Amino acid sequence: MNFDDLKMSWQTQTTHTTTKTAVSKDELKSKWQKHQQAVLKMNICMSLGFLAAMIEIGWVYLTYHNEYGWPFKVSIATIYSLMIVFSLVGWRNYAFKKENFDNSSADYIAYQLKKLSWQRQLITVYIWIYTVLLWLALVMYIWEITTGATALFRYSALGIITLYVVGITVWTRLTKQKKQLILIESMTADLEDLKKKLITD
Amino acid sequence: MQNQQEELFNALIKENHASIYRICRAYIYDAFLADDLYQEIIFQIWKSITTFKGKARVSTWIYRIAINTAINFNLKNKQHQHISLPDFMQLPYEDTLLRKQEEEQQLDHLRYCVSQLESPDRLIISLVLEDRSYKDIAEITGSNINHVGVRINRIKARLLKLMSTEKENEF
Repeated sequence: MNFDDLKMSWQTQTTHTTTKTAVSKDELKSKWQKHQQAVLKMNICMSLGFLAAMIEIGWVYLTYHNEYGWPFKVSIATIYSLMIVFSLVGWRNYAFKKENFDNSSADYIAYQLKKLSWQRQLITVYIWIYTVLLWLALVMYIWEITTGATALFRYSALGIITLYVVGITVWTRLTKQKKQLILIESMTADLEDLKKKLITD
Repeated sequence: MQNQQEELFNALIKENHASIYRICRAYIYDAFLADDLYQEIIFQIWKSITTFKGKARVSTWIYRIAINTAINFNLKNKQHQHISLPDFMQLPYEDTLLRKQEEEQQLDHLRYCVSQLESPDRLIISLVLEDRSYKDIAEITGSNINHVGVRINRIKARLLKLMSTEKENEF
């Protein structure tokens, strides 16, 4: 048995696909348009939501900043920081959606590994930054609006907010994020193995 | 402009659909999943045609899309990775083999042995079976030509060994 015979046999195989996969140009156009529309819609919604939130928070600050002290100002500043962080993360995620399948496999695998590394960083680092900023903003806000209230009420409110944020964070970390991290690690291992054997071994 | 792209797309698919299909069959043993992969590759070619700048040769460009789509498909569909069956589970395959015509038997035998190779090796052998040169394969994968040569020789030896081992098991 020699390899050339195998090659000849391989090249003479019939190459029809099953009828369910007969791909028409109209189907391709429709699929591509749907994909484009979905990405565009998401970006528009994100941008509009971002803009609306910035305007609203700006209005709140301009209306009430004379009535409240520095915690109120810190709260507003923190919310703005949160939104900027969220926006940057959102745009970076969007940039990663543009995949170039016509790069060499080495470049494609490197790109996928970079994307997975970013996703891992998002879960292990940026989510924590977001959570701390959110907690800070809520704590400052509660502190200001409960100025006239009793100490018990004030500290109870702060305690509830803290417990809520910590609870949600821990629960998400132990359930959803854990699964995501396992998947990311698995995909990273596969890609590293592929890179090693396809490109460098 | 759109008409030009459509014409280019039509011409590319007409010329390369058989090769693309064979790559899918090399990479995935299951015929229906291979069809899914084929459809996905066609879609990626359609998407990429607007950004094709002609820097690489058309054949290199097509094969890169096919290989990278296969890599992506495999990542997303890990549960469909072909795992070698333990020896006692191979009997049903041998029964099927007996019922096929000799040529189809040999081809299915070859497909089965290809599926027993590791995922990176299946990608490379699919290109070798399409008569791609070492230089082409190095360009498609982004590897260097020496590494490709060494790798291909190893894969060929492994495949031939699998073919003769499986043949012995039949008898």
